[in-house]
Amino acid sequence: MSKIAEQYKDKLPEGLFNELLTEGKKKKLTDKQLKKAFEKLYEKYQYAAIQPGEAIGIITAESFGEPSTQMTLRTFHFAGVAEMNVTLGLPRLIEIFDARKAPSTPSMQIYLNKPYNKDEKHLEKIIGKIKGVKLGDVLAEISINILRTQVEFRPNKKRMRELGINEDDILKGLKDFAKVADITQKDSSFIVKPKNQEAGLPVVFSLKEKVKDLRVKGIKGIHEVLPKKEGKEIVLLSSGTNLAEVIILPEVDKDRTVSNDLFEVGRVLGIEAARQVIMGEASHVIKEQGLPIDHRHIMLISDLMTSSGVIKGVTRSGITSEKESVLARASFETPIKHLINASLQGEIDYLNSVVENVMLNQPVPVGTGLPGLVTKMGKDGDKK
Amino acid sequence: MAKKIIIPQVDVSSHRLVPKHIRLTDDEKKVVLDKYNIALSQLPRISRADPALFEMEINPGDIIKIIRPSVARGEVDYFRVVI
Repeated sequence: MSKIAEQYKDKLPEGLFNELLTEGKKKKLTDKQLKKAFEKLYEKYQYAAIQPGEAIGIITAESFGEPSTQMTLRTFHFAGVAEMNVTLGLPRLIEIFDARKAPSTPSMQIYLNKPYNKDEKHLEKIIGKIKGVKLGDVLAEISINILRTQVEFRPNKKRMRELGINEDDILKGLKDFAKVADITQKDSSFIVKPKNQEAGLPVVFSLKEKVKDLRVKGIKGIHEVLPKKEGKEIVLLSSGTNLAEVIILPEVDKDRTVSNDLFEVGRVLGIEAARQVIMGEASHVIKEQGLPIDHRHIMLISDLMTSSGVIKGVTRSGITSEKESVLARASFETPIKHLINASLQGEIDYLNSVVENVMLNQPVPVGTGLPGLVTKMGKDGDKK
Repeated sequence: MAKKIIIPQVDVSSHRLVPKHIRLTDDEKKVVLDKYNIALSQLPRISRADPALFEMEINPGDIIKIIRPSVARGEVDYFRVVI
């Protein structure tokens, strides 16, 4: 690295610095030219830097507010595949920033480990493991015994082996019927007998249909799994999330699999990962609508939402409730509640922030209103 | 039906969404607090039970340095205090 570059290493951000250095090498700049380029870049960088006292929160609010007026209101978009709805547009943005406990269309992107992500022959087994297998799909035969008013069925051993389930899994799944029916296993066939024997055939018939529809194995909370080609590898998209149980599967790449449920990611991967998901989801929605805004705005919001160690939404029970000033809290929502509580507790408002000073018609501590005057008094107050 | 909360006891530090978490020593702690001229309570927080701190020896009051990847700046240090 040349001496000129060394000078600017600490002054410029790493990304900009490296970009200029590589570009300079490519264009074969002389030392003099490189120096000039660095000088110019540093000057531009200084202009672009935010000044102390700039009201960045308001700029962020404007940046989000303007494009959101142009977003399509209720869009349910197909994410490439049919049957897979993903909420996008304004509803999703509101969902993210309000930090709703459950997204309206929870979904996961499940990446697979090496041998499984290229070959389609493993897919059925893995999907079966995640989504579960309908008992009807593995049966060799199912029948109603009219004399004994019971359902009898026999699973297909070969099919079961292919999908990686065993008889214990079926018994476990059949426990759902334990309240209404007796379950017995005889050799390789199962018998489900309704407890209410007087009910007659219709009950037995509906029981048979329920048995066929029973999900064996599979992970709770996941309703649908669809494979999707992403470049050369196969990625599974799921509707419904259960990150904790999916990432411990041996076939699943636990380092790349993600969910769009903020709270779940926070629980499973930690608060920093949740911040990343907030940023990713928000910028995805905004970009998808063709209205990109600077990522620093999204960073500011997601930092605020996660600064307390848990995810808090931009609502009156979320980050607004953390404001120190009573008047600032009261100015957002439910003012009377806040004022009554504050007076009951004897809270003091030090008028340190913006909103309360606007209310009291005083200069706000923003921009040129931020610095105060400090003067050094001599001893005993005499002037020097 | 309430969703049952299962937290897997697995190491998630290699996940692509989880940046590197490093516990600071007492000396480093002082340097950070002096640099930003703030008290410990003014730092952003992180829960002691946070999965990213899996199997790390931490106590409330420790500062965790988080090395975040950044679009514009390559890598950025961020600090959180353990609660």
